[in-house]
Amino acid sequence: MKSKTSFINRGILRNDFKRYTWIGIVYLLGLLLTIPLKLVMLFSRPDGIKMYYTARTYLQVLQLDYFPNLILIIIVPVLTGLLLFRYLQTNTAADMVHALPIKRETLYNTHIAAGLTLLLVPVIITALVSWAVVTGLGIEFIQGKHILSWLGICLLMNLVFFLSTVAVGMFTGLSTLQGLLTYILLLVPAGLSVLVLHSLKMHVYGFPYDLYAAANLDKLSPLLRLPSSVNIPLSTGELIFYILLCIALYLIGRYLYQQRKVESAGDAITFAILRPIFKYCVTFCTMLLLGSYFHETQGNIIWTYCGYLLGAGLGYFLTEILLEKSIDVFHWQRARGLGIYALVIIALVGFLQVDFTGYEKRLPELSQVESVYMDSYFHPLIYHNDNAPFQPYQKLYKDKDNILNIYNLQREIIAHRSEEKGVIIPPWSTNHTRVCLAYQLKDGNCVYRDYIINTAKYKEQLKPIYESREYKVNQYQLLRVNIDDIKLVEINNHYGNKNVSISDKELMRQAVAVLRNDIYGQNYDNMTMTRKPPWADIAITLAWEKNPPPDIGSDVAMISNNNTATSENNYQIYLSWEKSYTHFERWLQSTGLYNQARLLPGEDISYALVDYAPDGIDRATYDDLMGNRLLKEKPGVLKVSDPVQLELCLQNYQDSYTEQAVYMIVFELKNGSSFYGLFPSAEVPGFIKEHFAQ
Amino acid sequence: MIEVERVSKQFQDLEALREVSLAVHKGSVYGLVGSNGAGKTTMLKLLAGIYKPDSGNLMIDSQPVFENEAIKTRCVFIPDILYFFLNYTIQDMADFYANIYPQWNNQRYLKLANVFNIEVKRRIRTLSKGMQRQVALWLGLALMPDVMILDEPLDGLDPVMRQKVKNLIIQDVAEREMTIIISSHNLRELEDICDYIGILHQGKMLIQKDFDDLRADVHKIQVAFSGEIPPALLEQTQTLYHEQRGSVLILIVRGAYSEIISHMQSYNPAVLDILPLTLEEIFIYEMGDNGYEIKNILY
Repeated sequence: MKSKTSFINRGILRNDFKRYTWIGIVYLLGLLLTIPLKLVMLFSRPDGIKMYYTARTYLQVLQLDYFPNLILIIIVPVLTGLLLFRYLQTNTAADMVHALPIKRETLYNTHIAAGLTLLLVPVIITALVSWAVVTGLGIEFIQGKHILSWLGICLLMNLVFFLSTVAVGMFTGLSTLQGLLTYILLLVPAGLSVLVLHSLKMHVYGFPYDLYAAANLDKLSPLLRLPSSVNIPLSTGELIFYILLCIALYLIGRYLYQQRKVESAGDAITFAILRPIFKYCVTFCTMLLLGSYFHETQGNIIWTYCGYLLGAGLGYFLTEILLEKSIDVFHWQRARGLGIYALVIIALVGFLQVDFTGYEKRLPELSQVESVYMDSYFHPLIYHNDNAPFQPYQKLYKDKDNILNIYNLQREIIAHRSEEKGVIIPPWSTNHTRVCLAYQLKDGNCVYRDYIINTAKYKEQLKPIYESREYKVNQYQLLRVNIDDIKLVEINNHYGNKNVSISDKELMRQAVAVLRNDIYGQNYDNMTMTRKPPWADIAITLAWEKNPPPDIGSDVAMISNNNTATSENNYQIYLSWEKSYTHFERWLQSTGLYNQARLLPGEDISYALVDYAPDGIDRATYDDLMGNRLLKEKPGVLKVSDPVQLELCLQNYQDSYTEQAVYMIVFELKNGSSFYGLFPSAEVPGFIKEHFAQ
Repeated sequence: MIEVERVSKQFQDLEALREVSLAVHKGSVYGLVGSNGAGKTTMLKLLAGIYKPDSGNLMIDSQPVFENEAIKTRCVFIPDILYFFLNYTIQDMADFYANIYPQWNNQRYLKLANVFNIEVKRRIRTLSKGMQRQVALWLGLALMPDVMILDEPLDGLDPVMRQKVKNLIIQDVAEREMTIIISSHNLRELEDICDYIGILHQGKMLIQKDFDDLRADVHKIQVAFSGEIPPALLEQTQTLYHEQRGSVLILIVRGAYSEIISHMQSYNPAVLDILPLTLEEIFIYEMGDNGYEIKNILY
């Protein structure tokens, strides 16, 4: 009698193929239709269309974010895992199979072998057929390495998904739950990270959520990593990780199979020890999910806590129902677990609220700070990619004084954190400024913080920073460009079609010099009082060899592609001719360009109409009133046509809505167009006050 | 052949078996009787190597069964709820077993086709419950097992088929010394085939008896005396039960047949009859000793 244990059982293997070869065939057909056939289809299009094809058109078919391909790779391996191990999840089938004279390990290995054959053979055949199609038709854009890379990642991900499904199947006894849990577990590392980070953002003042949340969380989930591998190819480290993951999943599955009791088919979770873990994990996840959801949609801390309560209760009792296979779970005894859980969570939130770790009040050692990044977002830090041709510009401060200024600002923010904590400020608030900080320390460490502060409250700390030369250099691209790269300076006013183009080298040099002077001369109030519209917009055209230099970064607009003669690219940077740019104004007057550069009373503007702003007017009413030109000439409305008075109005009006609006004004241009604005009480010209005083 | 020593099995919070012991000799038929939920199926699944016992020993030929390929190859388990692969015909299933069990006897399989008379091309799941059970037995017998573990095998069969199945099984026991452990909730059903009987109740083995011993050991006697019933009559016999109907005394007595007869005759009874005892009655009276309401267990 045969008694030696074999690695696989031929009878079972043959039976698996007999029952499930259709999966392999369907998979093969699906893959053949989505890849080789698609290549043939692309190739067979009329030449008129094909001439616009690039390598990309063909290569897209072989990319793993190509939807039909992606769907197949995500669904088929999981389905195969579910079907091959389906017998474990039905009592009668499990009894029948385990009464056979075959060891569990042999059964496991045999089904794994069957699954791998059903999945990997179609993928390999597809790669071979694709290669034959590419060589046969002579599609030059696709090379062997492209097909090989598709094959490699495809095989690997098939393995990961299939083995995950099998391993999950060992600790659950329901096929539906097995499928669901597989996808959830494939997503959980990334999903849970986002939820935890988001919760930290809600409870820890200054926590830089955006920075961490954007930091390639897809790398934590094979399911997300598959499509993202198109833009960021899998690194060698990741490949090794996934191979090790496959081995680990195989071993975990094998171990759990041996430990699993046959009678646990039909149980939600087959190991008693995992049941509470499962229950509290689900409770935790649903709690964070609903809390974050309510926080984001309602923007209110009460809602957030209600979300926590609802989420935890829902998650807890739903898993109880699932585990007990009964809805009779709403007893006080059962709620005890939830009560203990709630106490732990309350303690945890409490720790975060009282800043147990000292995170909120921690300031870096000033002497250790090498530089500080300060901006209103973390975008340039997040999207910093050493391999990209050019990087976003990072606003770094290295000047000792500025580091101290920023340090002081942060110290002040920390000192007032109890007033700000938990207050949710809508991102569109004009009264607030977002301060994203990243201290680079001498020991190589970084300290990141993210605050939204009331601008007016921190004026004293912001003022020295804003007025520093370094800040202005960071803020204005014009201060960072080389004058020799400038090809054209244009001043445009879009209401009155008044334009000035300066292409003379010397004039451009002068214009840029005075503009720089003006920018350097700006004080804090000028820089933050942005409500007075500029006289005109300035566009500066620059030409660089291929890419912008690093101190400009990627935040410039490319306006024309390769200039074939010089192999240069043209880019444009934009700034405004603010009313406070007096040097520039004088320079324009001295060159005689002034009248061409701005709208002039009398010459361009025929008259203006001024009326009271209705008491407590809101933004919508104001926009409706002014945008639809409802302010018309009628008794009581002041008509201003004196050029001196018009100039006064132009100098002082604001164009964006403010609650302090006292008067509204509309300027009527000779060309028929108009623009509007308003006067807050502090900026009302004397003659208007006098008129309405009567 | 089969030895079970103090085996316990727990399902979550339900104790299915508690320190159950039993022994089955080679070539004998062991009947496991008990009401629903008594633990019969659990016991059989443990014997088939499907479940792993929580404690105790479970041996076939002195080897533990669980995960033992060599032992399991020689055993066939036919569960009370049958499972066949979806869309499989009888022939498909036969091919499957032939691939798994080295001792598959195709000749026997073909020969049995005449007995069961079901078309081998038919899909098993389209067959009636009774027919599926026949298919299971058919395939099981073609595996030439040394041990057959049958969970309620006669359930759902018509009387003719029942007898046919019993005959087939008994034939194998007689010819090949096959060992059988068979369960039923109906004691009467097993009466004519079992050598041993074990009664399970709420996970515990209430009683185990060699059937022949039992029959030889317990007797139902009807005695009548012309005069008074001698007071010493019952003193020297092991009486399980006695009932007086007028002058007639009905006794259930344990002991050797000849001894009892001679003992009774020494009192010169007017009438002395030995009445037949059904298996059920034997158990009822045996259990009466233990104070159990056997009728609630066996029906």
